[in-house]
Amino acid sequence: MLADLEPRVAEQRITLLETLDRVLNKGVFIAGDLTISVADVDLIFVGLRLLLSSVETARALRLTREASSDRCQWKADN
Amino acid sequence: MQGHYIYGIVSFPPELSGEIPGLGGNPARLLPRGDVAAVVSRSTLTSWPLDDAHLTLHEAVVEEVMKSRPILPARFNTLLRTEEAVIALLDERARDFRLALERVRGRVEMGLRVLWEPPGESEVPADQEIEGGGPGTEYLSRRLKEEWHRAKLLQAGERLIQELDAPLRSLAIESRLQRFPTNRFLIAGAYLVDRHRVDAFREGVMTARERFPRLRFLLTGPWPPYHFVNGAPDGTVHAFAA
Repeated sequence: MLADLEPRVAEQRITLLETLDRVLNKGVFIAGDLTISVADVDLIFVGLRLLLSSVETARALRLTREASSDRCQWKADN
Repeated sequence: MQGHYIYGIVSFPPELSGEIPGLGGNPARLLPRGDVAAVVSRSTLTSWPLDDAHLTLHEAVVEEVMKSRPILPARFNTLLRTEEAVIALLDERARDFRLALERVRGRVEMGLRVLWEPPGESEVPADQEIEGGGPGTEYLSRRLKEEWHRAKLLQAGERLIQELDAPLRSLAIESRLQRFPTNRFLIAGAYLVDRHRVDAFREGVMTARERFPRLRFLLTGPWPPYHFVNGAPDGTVHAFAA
């Protein structure tokens, strides 16, 4: 599955999803009328499931982010 | 109308060295109050679109600042109207911020997600079966089987989690584990790790991977300590506990 995906693409996709999960749902919450919280905790899991379950879907979702060093290490036996 | 976009809270001093471009091309700067400061940039008071570029920029500012001091990263699109409002925030929560900053000093967050194949339907022991006829009984019997199966799954999963987590926990300062966030996910975890132990932590995950060849591991990091900005642990979410 993921092994079939170009590693850099998989890595970019994962990095973005992991970042998304963190900056939306975690981090300091500052209450105030102008604090906009876009919490959708399911998003990250939907995204990762797509990535894990379907190479085609993951390819369709290919993103353009620049490679971000060696942040992601995917360890799976497939 | 202009306001202030907040990237995070840091210890103060030192001042920022060099220019860090923030959202909208406005440079990040510090608004200090005593020994804490907010990392901000001038911003319009409308929420920034949640897309690849903006998300990445928010994260890039946090990571750049984090190179030289501990930071409590803020959530995306945290905007305050005035400088006074930012200072008031620092005043109000100075003690919490100080404590949290000390806790994350010299440390980073490592993300770990583990996928499993939940065991299939198992035999329900005879003494758990309901004998007899009508549709009501059948329904109850089915529900009972489902409940029994779910309990077994959680038990098996929890055992795995304990075995996985124990050695990793010893390599970390703290951890936040979300158990069974979905059916396929065993854990979504974050570990607060000393910078100089990041490699040891990676090796710990490698060891776990060899020990549990049927599980799949996603290790990411180092990250800013998003999961460790305050004292309260996250709630545990069970996907199975419908």
